[in-house]
Amino acid sequence: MTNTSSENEKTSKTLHRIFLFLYLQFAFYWATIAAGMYDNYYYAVPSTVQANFSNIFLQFFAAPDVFVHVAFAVLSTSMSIPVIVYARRVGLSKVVLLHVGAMSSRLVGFVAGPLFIYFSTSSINNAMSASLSTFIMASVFLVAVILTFLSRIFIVREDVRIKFAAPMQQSLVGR
Amino acid sequence: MEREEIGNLGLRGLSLTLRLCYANFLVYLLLYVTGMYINIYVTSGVNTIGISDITNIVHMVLAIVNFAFTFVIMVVGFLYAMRKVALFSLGAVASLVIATVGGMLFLSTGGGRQSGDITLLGGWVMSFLFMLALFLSYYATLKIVRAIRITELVKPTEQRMT
Repeated sequence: MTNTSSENEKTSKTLHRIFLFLYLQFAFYWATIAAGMYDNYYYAVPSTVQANFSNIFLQFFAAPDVFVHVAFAVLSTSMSIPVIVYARRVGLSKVVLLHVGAMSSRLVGFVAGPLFIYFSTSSINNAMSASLSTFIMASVFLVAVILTFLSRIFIVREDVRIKFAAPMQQSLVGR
Repeated sequence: MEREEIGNLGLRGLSLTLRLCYANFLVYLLLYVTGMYINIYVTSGVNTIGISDITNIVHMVLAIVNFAFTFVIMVVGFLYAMRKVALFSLGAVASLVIATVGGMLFLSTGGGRQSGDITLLGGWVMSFLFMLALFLSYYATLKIVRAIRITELVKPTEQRMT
């Protein structure tokens, strides 16, 4: 019984760490959308940007508001890595899958973002495709948010099970 | 157990409130999609949007439903001793109210990308406060999920012990 109790304590600590990373992830999600909407309203692709990979990549560092948006997007996505590691450790396979799904959908967003700049360059200037890229970026962001939201429900359920179900079963066995 | 907030709503009431929370998330989702559609396909160029445009009406009706659902969840939290649910929902309600003011500012000052700085500011305030409201509503929902789970676990064990 002592073994089970110490295992539960360990799992509880790991879940607590997952909670911390999820808090950070949600804060970064919020910052990503705040910065993204700021770019949406205030940022215009300069006419000097060429429609090639290196020029578009450098644009992320040239414009501070775009850099902030991309940095928060990367940070929010990378928060899934420790969550996956810890969730694997405590055997929460659904949480792992949901976060892998969230990261995959964000990767689509990381393609659609540069595509928006590509289609907005003066040489390409395709407003329709630029709009579609933005729409894809916004949609996959929402998908990622929903997937991570769902993951937290499973973590809460496990946390409650450890804190309440296990001690109750032990006390019943003791009686 | 003392730190947990299960309130005095009972399992049935909690389940009903959770369903309302899920319905609210569906409304949040539709609000996001219609908002993005307006943002990208209507007002991104030289076009403007007015209060009577059909896409705007759909978006505003969804915003009203969203506000109503969030408000009900907040009241349930206050009435049935779930302080965290009430406070998270209160934050969401406050965010939605200010976001609506931002949206009205966007509409009343031109309703387009080229209508000036105040219009853009209104749009930006609307967007990021919407997301804040979504996160706060989500935390309120998690507290209800937790309360349901605890109630489910405690009830059968108590029955067995008696």
